[in-house]
Amino acid sequence: MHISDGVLPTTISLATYALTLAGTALSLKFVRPEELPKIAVVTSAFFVASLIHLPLGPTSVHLLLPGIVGALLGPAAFLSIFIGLFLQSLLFQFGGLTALGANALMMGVPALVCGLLFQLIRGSSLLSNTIAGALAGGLGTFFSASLLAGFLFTSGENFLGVAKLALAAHIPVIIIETAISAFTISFIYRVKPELLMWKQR
Amino acid sequence: MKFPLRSIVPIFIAVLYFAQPSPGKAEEQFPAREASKPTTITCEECCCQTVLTTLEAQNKRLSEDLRGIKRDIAALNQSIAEPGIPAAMAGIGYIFGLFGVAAYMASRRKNPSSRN
Repeated sequence: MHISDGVLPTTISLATYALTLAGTALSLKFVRPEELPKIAVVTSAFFVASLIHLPLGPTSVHLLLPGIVGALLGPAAFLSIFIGLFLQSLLFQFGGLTALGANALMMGVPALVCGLLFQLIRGSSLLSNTIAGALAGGLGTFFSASLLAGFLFTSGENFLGVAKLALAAHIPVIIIETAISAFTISFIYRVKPELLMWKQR
Repeated sequence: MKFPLRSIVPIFIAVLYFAQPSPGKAEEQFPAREASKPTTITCEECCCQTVLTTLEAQNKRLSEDLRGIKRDIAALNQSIAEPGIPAAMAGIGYIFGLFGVAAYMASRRKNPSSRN
């Protein structure tokens, strides 16, 4: 899922870096000091999730979790994803430092969109929260894969072929993330529903 | 076809003879009597055939072993390349440390009176 060094043209790398830094700075404005521990825990979960490989035929895929991060953190999700990806590229060699901007946009934008969607449709019952969580999880991965295809298109690949490949490879991830998100959100809703609220600054 | 085979026979015998004392899985299955067999049998064609088949069997076994070892090396390379628990722990530590510093800064900003 991560874009590696040297895949994207320089202009795209720079542009995505600028957008990512702007997004991170904006997202910093929404961080409340009381929320820092929650953001730290979600960031760690996001950081480690990509190590969980699920065997899929000859290759393996890994979890992405942009949906859950967005649903739990709201506007602060972008910061969390940026830090998680930065450490992943340093420690795991997942994606390169030059592609960090594109990777952060690829996961951060779906996280924000899914977070908003989750807040809009979650309602106040366990069932509606679970469904909203499942939708956020599945759509987050779907949007990420679509953005990946879009970024690869800028590097000159055949767009339709790559998009189909990226989406096809992520169908199992989408299914698994939908299930995991539904379970996680319903569990949090039952145990500590205030974690699902976004506190405004 | 007859002439080259005949000329190769002594070489094969020599190879078998020298290969005998060296230890190893492949050689273990060829006892010493096989090396001495060609000297007792007069029919050169027949002994040539035996030597050929034994060599081929040996080669096959060796290449199978090699393939297994290559597979092992590839698997090892892959497992070395992929990050393990230490890297994950390091990352989690970085994240908590970073947010710890952020929380500390935030707490200092909140009540500046505690600064000394």
